Order: sequence, then structure tokens, then C-alpha cells
Amino acid sequence: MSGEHHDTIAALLAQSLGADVTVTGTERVTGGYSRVMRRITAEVDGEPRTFVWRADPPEGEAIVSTDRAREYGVLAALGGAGGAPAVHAFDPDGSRLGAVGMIIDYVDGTPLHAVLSATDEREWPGHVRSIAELAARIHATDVADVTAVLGEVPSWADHIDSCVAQWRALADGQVEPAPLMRYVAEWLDVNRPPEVPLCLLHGDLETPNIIVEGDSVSAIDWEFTRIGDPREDLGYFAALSAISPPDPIAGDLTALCAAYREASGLSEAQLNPLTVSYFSILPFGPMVAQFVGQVTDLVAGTNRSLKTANLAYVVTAMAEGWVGVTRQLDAAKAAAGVPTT
Amino acid sequence: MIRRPSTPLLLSLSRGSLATVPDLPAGEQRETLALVDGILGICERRAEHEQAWMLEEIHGIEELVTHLVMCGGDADGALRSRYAGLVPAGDLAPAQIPERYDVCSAMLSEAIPVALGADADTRSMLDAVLDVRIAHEREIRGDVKLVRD
Repeated sequence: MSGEHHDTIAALLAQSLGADVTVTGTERVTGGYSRVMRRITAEVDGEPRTFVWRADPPEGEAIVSTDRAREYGVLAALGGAGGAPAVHAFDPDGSRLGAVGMIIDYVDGTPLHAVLSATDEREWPGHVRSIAELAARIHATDVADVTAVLGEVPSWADHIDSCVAQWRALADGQVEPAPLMRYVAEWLDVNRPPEVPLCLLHGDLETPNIIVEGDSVSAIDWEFTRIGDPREDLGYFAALSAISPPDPIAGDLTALCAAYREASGLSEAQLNPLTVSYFSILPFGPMVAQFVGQVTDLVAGTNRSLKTANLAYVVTAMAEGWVGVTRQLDAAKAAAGVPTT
Repeated sequence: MIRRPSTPLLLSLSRGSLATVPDLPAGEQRETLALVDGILGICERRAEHEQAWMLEEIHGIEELVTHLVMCGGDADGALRSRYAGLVPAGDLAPAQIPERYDVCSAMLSEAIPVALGADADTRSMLDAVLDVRIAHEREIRGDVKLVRD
């Protein structure tokens, strides 16, 4: 990022903040699936402040492609509320800063996975409560504020139909028949949990994306934000924590569910370990569809990435995990006298 | 052509050579080397077991499909027509096994919605078939990890 870009960033920030801004430096930030990020240090009316430039990577280098305009639109609508960083500028075509991207507040603090690693496990229940409260705060966003960006809110049944259809398409769209994916799709269709109101989701709620600073808890990396079932964020968090320790849930969703019910007002019938576990599978369909698309390109010879070859086997590990969850839920339902498939 | 040293052995030797490369500092080169080692390990295990494992799964799937057809679970006859005309799996030439595996995998995909709604015995047969596939995939992939950018 050149000195010319520093001047452009300073001008964009000055316009957003209504202040004198001087950019004193930028440095690359690592991590994440697919975005290029640089930390920007600046002086705003003589006071030091930090921002982040968050942009699309060069074509073909992202494992998962997402829409910066959509992410920016939601963050702008949130205006720094709901545990989200405030946005200051958007470069929709990359003409200002060299890539489609946005400038947002740097969220000061420590990622939750680092906090957990440095904390005695006996203190983890407090963090579980914070996660539930953060999720409930995001989900309490008035969806009317984001429908201009994310579209109208569908009915719950239509939303689940659409998710299951994505899973079926995933099963049918692979380079070879995929019976494990077909099994998961069919199981998801016939084991739907009780309905709850749809809401704004973070969409990638995992420990590296939750920032802790004292008593304050925030969420970063909103590239997968969308309208959905609130249990999707909780199930996704539980699934990713299980495969990327430290795992504050440790296989027991009871405390997370209790804290979330308290914060959200959902009933125990709507939100319990069984219903959240269903959503530890459902939201992964679109992500895996992108992975599988890359594997298709690999087989067709239009992608030559070793990472993509590796990805094909990562997907088999994910499928094993999902089938395992369906078996656990079937067993739990049978033990509770609930009819199973 | 010579058959020995076998493909699995050649791959194993290649991985052994990679293991003697001095430790690289953390970064893209070390990550790439680890990926290459992981993929060679997958190739080694596939070369060793692939055909036998495909045959094992073919037998299990055909048993499930036959059971579904016999107990009336194939109401529209789709599975019966797909299965009809296939040569017995025991008569397959090695070169025919991959194609038959794809046919059987497609039949299994079609059978799943039926088997999920069927009786406990059928469900157990389905679970057993899926378990064999999962076990093979687990063995092949080893300790593969998602590599992020």
C-alpha cells in the first residue's frame, strides 16, 4: 500500500469523521478465509486511532468468495451497534484503494480463542454467557434496518426449504455421486426443529471472530452476515469450536442454551441442545458448496491448487462429523421418546 | 512394465525423503511442504486399498438395494431398473470397478430417502453401509486439516 493510498485513506476518513486525519502507517493483518486486511494507524485531530482496510483478494485467491457491498451495507445499517465495528468508507470498484473494500474501525481487544487459551477452564462459563449475550444482541437487530441490503425476510418454512434445497443441490452437484451429502440433506429435511422468528445473523460466529476487551464483547468479520434462524449462529459456533479448540462448549450446549434463552426470550422447546445441534449442520451447506465448486474446477483442470485438493478431503471429514451429529440426535430423541426418522 | 517397487512403496519413500528436509521457518513454504506430504499420504493409502474398499462398498450397497426392492420399498421401480442388467459384482474386471462404484454410489443416494423412512432393519443396513464408507474415507484422509489463507 503506497503513500498515495495513505493520502486517499486519510481523505476518506476525514470525510467520514469530519476531522483532520493523517495516516501514519499500514501493516498486513493475517488470518481469515478470504479477505485482504491491513491495519491502519492514523492521527485523528491529533489523537491516535486505528482502523482496518478490509478488501477482496486478487481474483482466484479466495477459498470462499463473499460480497463486500453486502457486508458494508449491513455494517453501515448497524452503525456500530449489535457488537459490530463502525464503517467509515467503501470503495465499491477498487478505484480508490486498488481493490473492492471498506475502511472500518479496528476493534481493540483479544480474540476469544486467545482469551480462552490463556484462561483457566473454570472461568469459561462466564465466556459462554458472553457469547450467548453477544449472539442475542446481534439477533435483536431490527431486521427492517437491513432488508434494503439483505432482502425481505422469508417465512421460516421457506428459509429451511431453501437451506435443505442447497444441501440437495450440493449432493447432486459434485463430481461424483455423494451419498453422505444426500443422507445429510434428507435427514435435515425430515428432522426440522420448532419454528422461531428469523433475524439478522453474524454468519461466521467463531472464537477468532469474537473480540474481548474487558467486559466488552464484539464480533468482527461480517462477510457471511445474512437473514436466518438465530440457532444457526449458535450451532455454527458449537461446531467450529469443537473442531478448532479451545472449545468453551466442550460438547455440552446446556449452559449456552440457558444463557441465550435468558437473553432472547425464546422458549426451551425452541432452543435446547437438540435444536441447536440441528443447526450445527444446516448452515454449512453454502460454505461447502463453494468448497465443492472448487473441487469441481480442480477435476476439470481449471484449478491447479494443492489447497483445493486438500479441501476435498476436509469435506469428507466434515461429512463424517455431520453424520455423527445426526446419529447422536436420533439417539437422544429415541431416548426422550420423540419419533425419529 | 514392472510392478515392484509398488506404487504405495514409491509414495512412502517419497514421503520419507520429504521428512529429511530440514525444518523450514513457519510460512508458505513449510505449509506447502506439509500439504504435499499430506496429499502423498492420501495417494499412498488409496493405492494400497482403493480397489478392495470400492468392492467392499459395492457389495454392501447392492445388498441394501436388493433388500429395499424385495421388501417393496422401491415403489416407483427406479432402483430395480437401475440395478437390472448389472453383471454380478464378483465378475467385475478391475477396470470396471470404478464405474460400478459410481453406479452403486448413485443407487445409494437414491435409496437413502426410502431407507430413512423404512423399518429399523433397513435403517440399520443403511447405517452400516454409510459407516463403511465413512471408515474408508477416514482411513484415506489421515489427519487432514483445513488450510486457510
